[in-house]
Amino acid sequence: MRVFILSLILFFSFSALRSQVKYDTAYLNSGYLHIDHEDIPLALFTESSRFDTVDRVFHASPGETLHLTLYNLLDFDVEVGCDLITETVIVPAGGNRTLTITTQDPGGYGVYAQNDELKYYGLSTVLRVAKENQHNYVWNLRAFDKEANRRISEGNTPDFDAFTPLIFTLNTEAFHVNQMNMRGMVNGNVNDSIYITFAGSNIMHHAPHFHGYHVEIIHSNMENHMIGWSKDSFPLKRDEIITVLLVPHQPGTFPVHDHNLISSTTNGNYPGGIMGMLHIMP
Amino acid sequence: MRLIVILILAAFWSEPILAQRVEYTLNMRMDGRHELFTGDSTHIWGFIEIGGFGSEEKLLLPSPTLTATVGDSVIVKVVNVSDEGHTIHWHGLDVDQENDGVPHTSDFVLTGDTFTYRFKATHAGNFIYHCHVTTTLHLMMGMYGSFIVYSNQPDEIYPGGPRFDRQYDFLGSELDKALNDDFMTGGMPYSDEKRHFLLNGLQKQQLYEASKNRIELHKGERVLLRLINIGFDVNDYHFPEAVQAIVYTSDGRPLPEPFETVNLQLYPGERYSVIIETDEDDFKGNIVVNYLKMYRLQYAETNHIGINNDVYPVYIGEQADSRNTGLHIFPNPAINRITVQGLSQDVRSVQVFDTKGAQYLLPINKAGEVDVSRLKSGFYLMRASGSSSLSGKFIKR
Ligand SMILES: [Cu+2]
Ligand SMILES: [Cu+2]
Repeated sequence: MRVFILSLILFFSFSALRSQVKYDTAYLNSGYLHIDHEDIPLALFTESSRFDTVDRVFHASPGETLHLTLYNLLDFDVEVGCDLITETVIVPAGGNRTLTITTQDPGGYGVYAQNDELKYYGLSTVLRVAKENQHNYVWNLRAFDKEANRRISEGNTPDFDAFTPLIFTLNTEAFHVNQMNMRGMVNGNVNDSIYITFAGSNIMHHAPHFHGYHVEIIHSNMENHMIGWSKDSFPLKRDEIITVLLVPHQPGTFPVHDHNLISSTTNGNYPGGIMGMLHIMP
Repeated sequence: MRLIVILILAAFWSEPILAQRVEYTLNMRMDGRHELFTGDSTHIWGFIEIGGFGSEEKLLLPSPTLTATVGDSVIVKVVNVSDEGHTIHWHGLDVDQENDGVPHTSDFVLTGDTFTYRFKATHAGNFIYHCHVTTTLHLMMGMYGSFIVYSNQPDEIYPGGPRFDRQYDFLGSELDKALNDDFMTGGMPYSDEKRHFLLNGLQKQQLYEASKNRIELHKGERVLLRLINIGFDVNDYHFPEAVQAIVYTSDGRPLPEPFETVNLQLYPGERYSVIIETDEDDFKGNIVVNYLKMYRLQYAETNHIGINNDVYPVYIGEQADSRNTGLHIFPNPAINRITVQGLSQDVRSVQVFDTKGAQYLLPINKAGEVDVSRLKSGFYLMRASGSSSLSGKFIKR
């Protein structure tokens, strides 16, 4: 009996320990984004060593320590950091390093290259700290000036003073009426608690606007005086990651788009760019 | 008989007694002209109220402000008398999908068609209505206006909220003359040098001199500012030092905690209710509104709103946008010292203004040199003291 109790205690303490540590991997990878008949070079954190244009988003429960091993498939070293820690790691070209991130409060936090050009180029993603059984969506918003991307891909410095983006993406897809951005879809029901984390992960500021609903701003990775406010339109600053809570009061299909309307176009064509869709059932 | 009485009573009870109906009929049109501060005019589209009191024949920019009282049922009939399809999106009013005005999820009001929007004004506050068809173009062409929902008490911001003595609303937007002149070839609103930065459709002197945009504020009074941004840029408001500004609501919702501020930024689509007060007996001053571009994070332009003030703060550099005054400032950008050409010898000082409205009086020597080493880096406007006709702009590095 005593042995049984002891093993029970051991089992629970081990599982408690285990729940506090999590291991994950990602690849620093480069390739092309095909949008509107254009190929835009970029680099992303990807799930596997094969390049795809899906941002690798990391998840952890509040209080969990994440050991994040990064494999650098690029031909230069990249220094990577996270909002939650002051240390960074330099991941050598062709090598790997592990970033250890201890999480605390729920919210969205940046994981990104320390170099501004590479961060702009796509090496910027989100660590979502949240309880596991939540409706969580992460929307990474970007603005691309293909000339700047071309220069970076050739190892040159882009001219950000002349920055004129024409390609705008939500999770590296641009909205199209006939071929909606499946990575910008939210499915839920009236009265659900739906959490959407918006990341302004490259150079522009954004102004997300919700049709149909107000949302509560519940977290930012930056100093933000709007926590607790009920908003339908709100600022998302450069490098800011804001988590909002949507509790739909009505059913319907409604867009959520950048109200800096330039950003809801693709090469000048509206609608496009940064536009997601809410599908709320009764 | 008793049954009939009960039925009649039931019919009345089904509608809350206090709920009112507010009805508008709007024409959608594409044949307007709008006068710019430069004296030129350009082509605008918009909504125009027909059949109502004070209806106007001419399209205005912005379109007329629509109002309701909280709890009202709002019915807006639109008649499209233009050559293209349009809609109305009721920005921030959280209407249902059918009335949301998005072509691919709601409706599309084609040429010659009518459509009736129905929704409830559930919250007091500041909202926007605008066309949602090819929004980049139709909005730039002028298809937008403010929608204000008043509280049940006419002098409170929202039911049970703070009271005010007077109110003004300011709707920020931009206009690209090249696009409005010729929307088929005008292109994207990126061409900054052609852009106009508007409040209530007006800019600079034109805005300042329109008496409805001049704020009257006396000691002991509380003046409500309804600030709304439907443009592409950040509207960056700076309140004068002698004015206390308290922010009470945003996007039609009371804030958890009102706060005092000297600076308030409105991103595209945002709205605020701010109450201003002053302790000064004869206060005169200006609210400075900067326009900041979101894609390069740069300053673009400034407008001023006068408070008890009818003297436009003329920076001749602004006029130089349209009328060259011949004032020449170099080097530009400057580090420690600038030379100003075009001033007469008797000018001993120049006034310099930063984008937040702070003023500095700097001596100028006989060679026309001004020491700017103590200025913080940034964008400045200069005018010759005592002169209303000579000014310029420079950047301090
Ligand atoms: Cu329209
Ligand atoms: Cu809108």
